[in-house]
Amino acid sequence: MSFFAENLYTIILIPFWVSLLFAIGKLFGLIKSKKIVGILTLLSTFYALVFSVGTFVLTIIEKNYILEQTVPFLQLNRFIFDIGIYIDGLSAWMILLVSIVSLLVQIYSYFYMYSDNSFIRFFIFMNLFNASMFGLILSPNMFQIYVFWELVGLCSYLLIGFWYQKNEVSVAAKRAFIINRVGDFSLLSGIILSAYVILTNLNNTLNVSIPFSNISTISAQIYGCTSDGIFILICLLILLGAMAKSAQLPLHTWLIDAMQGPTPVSALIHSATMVAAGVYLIIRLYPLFSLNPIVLQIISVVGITTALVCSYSALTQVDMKKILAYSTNAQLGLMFLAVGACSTTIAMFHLTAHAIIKAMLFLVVGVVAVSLNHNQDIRNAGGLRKQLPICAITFLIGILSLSGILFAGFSSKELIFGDLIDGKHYIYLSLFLIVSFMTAYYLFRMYFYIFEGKNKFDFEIKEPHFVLNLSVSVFALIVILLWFVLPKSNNVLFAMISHLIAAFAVFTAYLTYSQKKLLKKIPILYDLSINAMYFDGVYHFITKSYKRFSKFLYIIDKYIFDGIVYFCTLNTKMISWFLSKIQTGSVQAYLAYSIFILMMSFGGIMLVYSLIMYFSEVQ
Amino acid sequence: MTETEIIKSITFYGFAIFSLLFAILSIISNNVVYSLLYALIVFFSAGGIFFSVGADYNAVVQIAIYGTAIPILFLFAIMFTSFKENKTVNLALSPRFFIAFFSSAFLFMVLWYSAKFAININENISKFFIPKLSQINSFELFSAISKGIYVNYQLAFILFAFMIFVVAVGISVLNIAKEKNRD
Amino acid sequence: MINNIFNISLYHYLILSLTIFCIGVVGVIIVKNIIKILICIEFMLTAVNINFIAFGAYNDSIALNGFVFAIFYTAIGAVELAIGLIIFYLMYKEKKSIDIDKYKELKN
Repeated sequence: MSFFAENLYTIILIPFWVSLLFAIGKLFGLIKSKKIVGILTLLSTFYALVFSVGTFVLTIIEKNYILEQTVPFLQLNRFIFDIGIYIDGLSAWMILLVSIVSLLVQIYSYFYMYSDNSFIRFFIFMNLFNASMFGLILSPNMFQIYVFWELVGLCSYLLIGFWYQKNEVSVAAKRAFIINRVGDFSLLSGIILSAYVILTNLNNTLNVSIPFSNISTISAQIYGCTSDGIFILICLLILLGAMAKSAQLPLHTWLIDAMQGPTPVSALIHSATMVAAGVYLIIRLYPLFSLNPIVLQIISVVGITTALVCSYSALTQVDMKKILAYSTNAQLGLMFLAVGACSTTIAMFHLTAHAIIKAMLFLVVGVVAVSLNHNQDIRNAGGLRKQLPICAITFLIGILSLSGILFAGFSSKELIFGDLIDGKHYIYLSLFLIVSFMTAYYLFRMYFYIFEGKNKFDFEIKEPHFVLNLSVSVFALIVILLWFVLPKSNNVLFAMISHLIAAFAVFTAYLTYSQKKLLKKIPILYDLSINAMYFDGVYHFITKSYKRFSKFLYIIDKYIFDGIVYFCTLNTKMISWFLSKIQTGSVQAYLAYSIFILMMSFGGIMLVYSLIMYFSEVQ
Repeated sequence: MTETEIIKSITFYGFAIFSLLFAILSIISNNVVYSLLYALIVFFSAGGIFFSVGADYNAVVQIAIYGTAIPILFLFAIMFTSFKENKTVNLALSPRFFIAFFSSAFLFMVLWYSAKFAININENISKFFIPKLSQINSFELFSAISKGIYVNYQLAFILFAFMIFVVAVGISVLNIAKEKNRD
Repeated sequence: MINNIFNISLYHYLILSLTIFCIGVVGVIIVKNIIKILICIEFMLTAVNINFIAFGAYNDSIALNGFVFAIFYTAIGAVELAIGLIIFYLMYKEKKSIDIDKYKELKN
């Protein structure tokens, strides 16, 4: 078993090589068969799955199994930067999750994207994403994590803008990338600040790049040698990076833009793996954050606020993928809450459950949208339960789970609930219940819209490829299996409350989905919800005022600074203007000038000569 | 002051005033044909002035070339080109007018002053400037000119003749080339 | 002697030729008609001829080189006039105008 763990670095390299192979092959026109592309991709991901299963089993068998393989990469005086891999329970768990989701989504996307013109490009990006995601998870220190952090951001950008020919898609990709840049910059500042603190205050040169193998010691050292303000600043800078990647409140709008990408991309990157990287980073650095309770409070507040705002925004959306995107936001917020108020393990459970469920839901939505000729409006669907029974069943499993009624989502939510009660966080608890209610409401509203009632379209639904159904079913199976795997607190109180709230939500959704919208009767609330609390408007306002400001600066530059330069050149300009005016083109004028000059020189000579004569006479 | 001197001075002043007056008139006049006529008078007066000095041969040449041949050339040019535009095109009232006027006035003053100055300052130059006019009889004149042209400046004479030939050929070539370009 | 205006000397001839020359210069510059410009050039040539004759008569009564050069100079004037006229004629074919202010290809 230790063979898998010791050779785990190959799961970073092999997808990368496959991606490079496809890129070169596409560049020179060598790879044309889609089957070869699919088989190579699936083989590389299956390889990763085998190795991650082996490593995971090893970490289960040996408690506290830790393996660090590093090679020195950069050594500048006291600054040492190693690259390599770091395996412990957390990273083994995470790569298992990523490889399972990635394999299933790639099987799905092989058939989903088969008719697309840029099939090979899609798999180049997917493999590159796999490589960088594994690299991010297995990073032994903060500097390597930053490198792969950027790489997954790049892959996300490339895959959101996959159909870049459409203008709105490329704009959305750019917006997502720019908002991610804010977080990346903040993360880099945090890393540099902490490295600076270590370099200036400590003699331990090995710790400069913040390796995770002894993160608790380093955290204590940083906490010991900084003031509270600096420490909170470091934490907040790193936290902001995680928040941008995990789409938390001030920077959450990019995830909605990211829905412009293909559905498998949304399933893999923007619901299961990449957005979880922020939570993963916070869990990794939990020893650092937990030193100051204020930071944990901030994490909790950010998480619960995001959950509330995004759940509320999801209530009235009509685009299938946008509802799921807001839902993803909300669930990520609950993960933050779990990290801040409960424990990292519970957050990890919720992350796992949510990743599987949400990937499945996205895949189901992809099948539904394909059946409806790529129409994602839930109002145009309806009564699809008879045409797409497998989709309906798996979707129901997913939403039951995510609403906290049954299966994996029930387990993870139960854990959070129990821990909130134990920690006596009653405000968070009440807000958490509100979020649960809204989650159940909008998910079931979506279900009723899509699968119940009568058909609202008049064309024949074509049967989806059986592999699509198969991969979705495998996901559903995993969701059910997770229910048995995840620990249970056997909290009867939560079971009762959760079922009660969910039942009430389902009942409300059933009553209101087909009728006139409930919230529409209160225009302010409705507007707030449909416009997602106007975050996009605020950002537009900021960019617009920035544009105005730069226009103002442009005017200043043009008329003041350039004006000074132009004024300096005016002298030369005037002289040349005058000289060019002299060149009248008339022969007579030239003759006049020549005679004038001749006379002047002649007169000058005469004058000088007569003066000389005069003075010589005087003497 | 003898009688001959008075006659000489009267002829000189008459021709001088005539030539100056008609030179100015020929510049001022609107009609090109009139200005050509005035120019003719100027050339004739110049011939008269030559005659008064005793350069009879030069006077004849002057009258023959400037008095007849060149005006006919001008007349042809006028006939070919500017018959209709005669009165519209006259003097230019541009800055160059004033430049030319003051430059010429200055030139005049400078030269006058220099001549005067040269006469006043030095006895030798003064002798050079104010010699006695020698009486030349016509035989001496013609023999001197013939000697000058055909003996002393023989090469220059041939050169001038050749130059005139070249010019005649050049003009015809220019014209033919232009005609070909037209086609 | 100079003040005696009736005693005609070389000086008087020089002043006369200078005046005609100046008139010619001014005329060349201010006149717009190309034919009149050529006439003014002839004035200048005549003025130079007067100079030659006067110096020849007053200073060189034996060889009379001034007279000889005056003849050469007359020939030069005729040749120059012929060239001037043919150039003018060719220019006129292009522009159909005798106004020299319209020949301004070298402006600015």
